[in-house]
Amino acid sequence: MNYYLELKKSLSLSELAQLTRMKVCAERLEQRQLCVLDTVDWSIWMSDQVLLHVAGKRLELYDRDDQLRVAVHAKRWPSFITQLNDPLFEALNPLVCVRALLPQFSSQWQEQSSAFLNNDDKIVARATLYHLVDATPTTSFFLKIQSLRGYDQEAQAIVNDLNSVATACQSAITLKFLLKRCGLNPDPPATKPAFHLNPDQPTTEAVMGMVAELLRLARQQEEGLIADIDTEFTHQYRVNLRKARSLLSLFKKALPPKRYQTLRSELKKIAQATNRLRDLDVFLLDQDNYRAMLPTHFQPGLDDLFKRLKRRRQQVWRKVTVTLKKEDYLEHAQLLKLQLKEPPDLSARHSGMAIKKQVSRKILSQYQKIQRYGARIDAETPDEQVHEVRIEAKKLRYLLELFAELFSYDQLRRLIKALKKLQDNLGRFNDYSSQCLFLESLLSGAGIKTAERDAINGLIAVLYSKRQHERGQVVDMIAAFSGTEIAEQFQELFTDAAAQDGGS
Amino acid sequence: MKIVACYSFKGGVGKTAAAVNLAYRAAQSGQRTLLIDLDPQGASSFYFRVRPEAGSKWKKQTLEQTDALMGQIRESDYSNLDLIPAQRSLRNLDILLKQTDSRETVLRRLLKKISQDYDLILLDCPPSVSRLAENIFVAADLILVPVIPTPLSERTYDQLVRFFKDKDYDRKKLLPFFSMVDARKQLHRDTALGMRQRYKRILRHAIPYSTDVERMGVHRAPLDLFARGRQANRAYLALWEEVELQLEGIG
Ligand SMILES: Nc1ncnc2c1ncn2[C@@H]1O[C@H](COP(=O)(O)OP(=O)(O)O)[C@@H](O)[C@H]1O
Ligand SMILES: [Mg+2]
Repeated sequence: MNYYLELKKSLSLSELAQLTRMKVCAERLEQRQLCVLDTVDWSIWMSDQVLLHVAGKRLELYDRDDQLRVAVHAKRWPSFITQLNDPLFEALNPLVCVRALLPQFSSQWQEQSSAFLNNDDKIVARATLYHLVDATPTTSFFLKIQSLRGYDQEAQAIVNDLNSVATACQSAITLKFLLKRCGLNPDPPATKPAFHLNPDQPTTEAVMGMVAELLRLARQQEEGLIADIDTEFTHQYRVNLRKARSLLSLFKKALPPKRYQTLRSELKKIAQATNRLRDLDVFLLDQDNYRAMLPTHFQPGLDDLFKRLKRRRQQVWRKVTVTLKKEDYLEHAQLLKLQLKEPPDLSARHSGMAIKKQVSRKILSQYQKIQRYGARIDAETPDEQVHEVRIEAKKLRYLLELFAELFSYDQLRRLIKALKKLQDNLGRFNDYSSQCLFLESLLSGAGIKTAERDAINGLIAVLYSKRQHERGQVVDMIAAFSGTEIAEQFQELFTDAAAQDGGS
Repeated sequence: MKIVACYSFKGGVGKTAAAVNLAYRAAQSGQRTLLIDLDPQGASSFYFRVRPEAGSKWKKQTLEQTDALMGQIRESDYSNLDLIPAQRSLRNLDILLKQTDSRETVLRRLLKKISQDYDLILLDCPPSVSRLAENIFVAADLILVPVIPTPLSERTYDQLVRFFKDKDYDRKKLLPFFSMVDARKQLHRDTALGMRQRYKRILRHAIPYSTDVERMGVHRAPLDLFARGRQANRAYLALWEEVELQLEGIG
């Protein structure tokens, strides 16, 4: 059993011995000097783990039970986990992925471990005394007492004897608890939008609110993007803007045409600035994969290619930061925000319909659209039409996810899973196609050397064959998603809500 | 989970010294180990500074048995090592073991029930021929038998082997080793040589006679804590490694 006490004042081991009338033996005195490392969104902490840089020389990862999972020597920590070796990389990869590790919090405390002995000099309990110098609001002292198996009565007696100097601690004394008492209070920015939709809300009002929220989330990424902390900022910036644009186009009938047109072009302008940056980021993030695609004698050519792209990426990033700081951009963004705040114009045809009903209809019609578009596709259909299906599928995904709070998420999950399968296939097909185009565009670069040209051509050949492979699966994937089983689920989930009375 | 007993008809041959040091070794090597002190004298409990239980906590009802036994477990001062201390009277255990159905397997079944917490259970046995001993012979996967290399001890070991033969117990479980060996004594050397020829299973490593082992009573701790580099401690380490190999061979 563990007992957790908060002490009213510092206690020496001899005072502990006196109070409990037991022998207390010091076992270990440790000065803990810690720096908590985490991503900007605290993904490690949020998964109930803690990554520490200890005493300026070790990286330690603790799991939810305060067990040390991995420890490695490191004078400094790397910004990206790809620079870490295996056990730690494996453990962090699912949480951190491409995000940068940032020093989020530093603190220190003292840990004195000791043992309580009975009259036979047998250990009956172990104790750890924590002395938190940095605690807020004042220095704090905590005591953890662990009884040895079979000696719980003795431990309870010890706890009782400490009554006059200690109070029970409300929570277990864990690493997280101690860090919090030292003032750590993680406040991760919300990554998932929270719309707080009301099913009966008029459509325009709901959509405007959502677009505004997505714009806010996008703009929240600007700071990290400009500081170039990691590629995820650009990515999230774009994802949020893309969702906003998708929403607008899905519900354009709920807006007056003129208003729709202005909003749409403003958003597009804002997002455009980062197109090239994201392309280059994606390509560079996938470096290892590309290297694995070609035999060794292509590697020098690939080195040249990646070097060139890295340089270009920095140029493009600088340009983006300039754009994001420009009056022009800031004005546009501000204007957009104001426009979204304007009272909803209810003159458009679907503007007043209850959002839940409207969305249900939209989901059904969007699904049917995919069925319709999909039906046209066979092995020979030009890429253009396959991409259309991909774009419609993406819109459906946004509908299902952005409005999930209006429906039961458990049921949506099955549909999202089925949709994701189709999207993965279409997405890979599109990625390989655009990567081929991207590489082709590089071939025309001035002063390009033969080795680099060969490497680029090699990559194009491999990517093309991968693209063909994905293309070969498209027809089946579409058929599976359009089939009666999924179709019935969509009908079952959304028909009633789509037919409901109320609204206009 | 494996069960190893330290057993001999004779007292004072080094059963407890072996049980204590081998249990400590096993625990240090990472095996979750439980040492059960079955001798009412409570010598191994004493070495681990755990008080013997006044009354007998062995329960007659099958359901209560495991709970009562689990309640007896005491964590030692060392990691991975727990202990069930001696009980001053074995009266209830005797009654339990004399239950009519499948009398000799009672202990084995009982130990199997608490096995999930441990990799190894070591039994420090009293020097008696009793229902308890017969239960131990059935329960244990290996029975370590300390033998002082003297003609008298050799005779005792012969008797044990004959007893196993008569009662049809598995003789392959018996693992004798030489204990309290004084290499300067011609008698010890001769007896050991003769026995090794007759019994191939005698463990290669022997425990020397050593005042360090006697001093365990003063320190109340396994040898490793106060006589780390000494010969006797190294002998127990080597002996444990041999036993570990034997255990690996058991399914
Ligand atoms: N290798 C040894 N060298 C010297 N004395 C020993 C040795 N082994 C045991 N003894 C001593 O002999 C006595 C009996 O040993 P013990 O292990 O309790 O035997 P058992 O459990 O077989 O009765 C104890 O006083 C112990 O200190
Ligand atoms: Mg004994």
